[in-house]
Amino acid sequence: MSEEEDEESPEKKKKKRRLCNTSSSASSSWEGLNPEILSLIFVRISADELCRSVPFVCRSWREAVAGPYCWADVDVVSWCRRCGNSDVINTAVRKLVRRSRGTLRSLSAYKLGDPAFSFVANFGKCLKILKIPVSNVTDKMVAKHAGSLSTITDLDISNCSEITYKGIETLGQHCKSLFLLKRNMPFLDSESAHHGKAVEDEAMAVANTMPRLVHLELAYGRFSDRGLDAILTKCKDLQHLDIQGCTNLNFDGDLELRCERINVFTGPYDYDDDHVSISEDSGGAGSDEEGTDSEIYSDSSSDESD
Amino acid sequence: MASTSNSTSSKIITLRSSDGEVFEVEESVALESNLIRRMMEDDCANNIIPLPNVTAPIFYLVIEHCKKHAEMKDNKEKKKELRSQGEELLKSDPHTYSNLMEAVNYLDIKSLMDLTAQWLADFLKGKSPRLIRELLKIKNDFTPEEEAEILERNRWAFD
Repeated sequence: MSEEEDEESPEKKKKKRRLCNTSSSASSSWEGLNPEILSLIFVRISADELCRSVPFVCRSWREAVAGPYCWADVDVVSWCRRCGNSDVINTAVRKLVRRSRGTLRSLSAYKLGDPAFSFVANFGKCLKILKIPVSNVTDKMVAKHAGSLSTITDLDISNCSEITYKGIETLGQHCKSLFLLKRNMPFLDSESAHHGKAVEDEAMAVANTMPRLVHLELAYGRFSDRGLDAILTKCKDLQHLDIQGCTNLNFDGDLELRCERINVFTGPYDYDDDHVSISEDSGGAGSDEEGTDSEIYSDSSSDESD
Repeated sequence: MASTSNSTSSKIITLRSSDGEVFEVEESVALESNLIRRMMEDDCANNIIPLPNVTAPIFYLVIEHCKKHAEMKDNKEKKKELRSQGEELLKSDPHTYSNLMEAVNYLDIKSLMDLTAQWLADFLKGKSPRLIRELLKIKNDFTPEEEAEILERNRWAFD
């Protein structure tokens, strides 16, 4: 309905329109804007940048940032990579999680330690997405807190070497709605002591405790056909499977056929570049990291807004 | 009713802004607003729907944006056009932009809320607090002690 159309209906009683750009009566301005609206804006700014600028602008903006609305989805991966120091990361993540006051829905961090993990578990009553690659979280800590993480649907514990098949089992037993698991591990070169030896326990833990998985990434896993067969048999809903670098697989029998039936399948020798940056345990001075970061970890929905 | 768009003549909804102006809007545009949708479901359809929290100039802006947003689906040029108009408004008249966001929130138009919030977020990115205050005409109401306290609370982010 355009303006001309409006004026073509004379039978309607209406006043002459003033098409001025300034609002006459409304008293609102940025300071007085509803904190819920402010938080809709602020959630689109990365956590560390948000803390560097917005609370310094004015009191009402400080209040909005201090409130829980801004912290339901916390993504500090880029900052964690730049920072690289686990102690500093633990402190920062705890601060941010505390601000969410129980509203935390997703957390993406990097190099998290036990202290922050237990904090997240205690405060994340609505936590659905937990992405903590390259963290030092231990099986023991997982066992202690898995009960509080039962709402999780997406989990990324790639390259968390202190979490073994036991931790995976515990997580599977408690997180009944888990439908995405990323457990991509670092590349083992042929010099490594473990190279070539098949180990099924992690694949078995996934198969036995996570039957609802839709999306599974186990890059550089050390399982063989036995582990893969168990996963394909138990996880009937799989639509995405990434087993790049899993060189202990032979694909005997109908395994290859069964894999190819999966919508998105990345086989042992289908290497992609993204994975390389996940497996690097560097403090994060790499120049190519920003790009891969945002593709892999950030959920920023730019498609709708751009 | 002269229709500029589809041949299917869509129904016209009549709405009245807080300052008493009457607007006629195509139903498909009006229904972008969840508030109007709910009011129509509550049987206001044949009457004039009052919008006590939105002034005429702001409501005009909302309708313009809604129409453009409907047109811009799958059209990159239109998307750019709408975005640059939004950014222009933000720069030239930030006060009206804040009123627009408030109205969009009140009318509960999700698509437009996402857009206006994203434009503003992009506008804020990389700017210092001082520059943000200057551009959006916000008064610094902090004491130096308070500023020091905020810095202390957020020191981690500067690492």
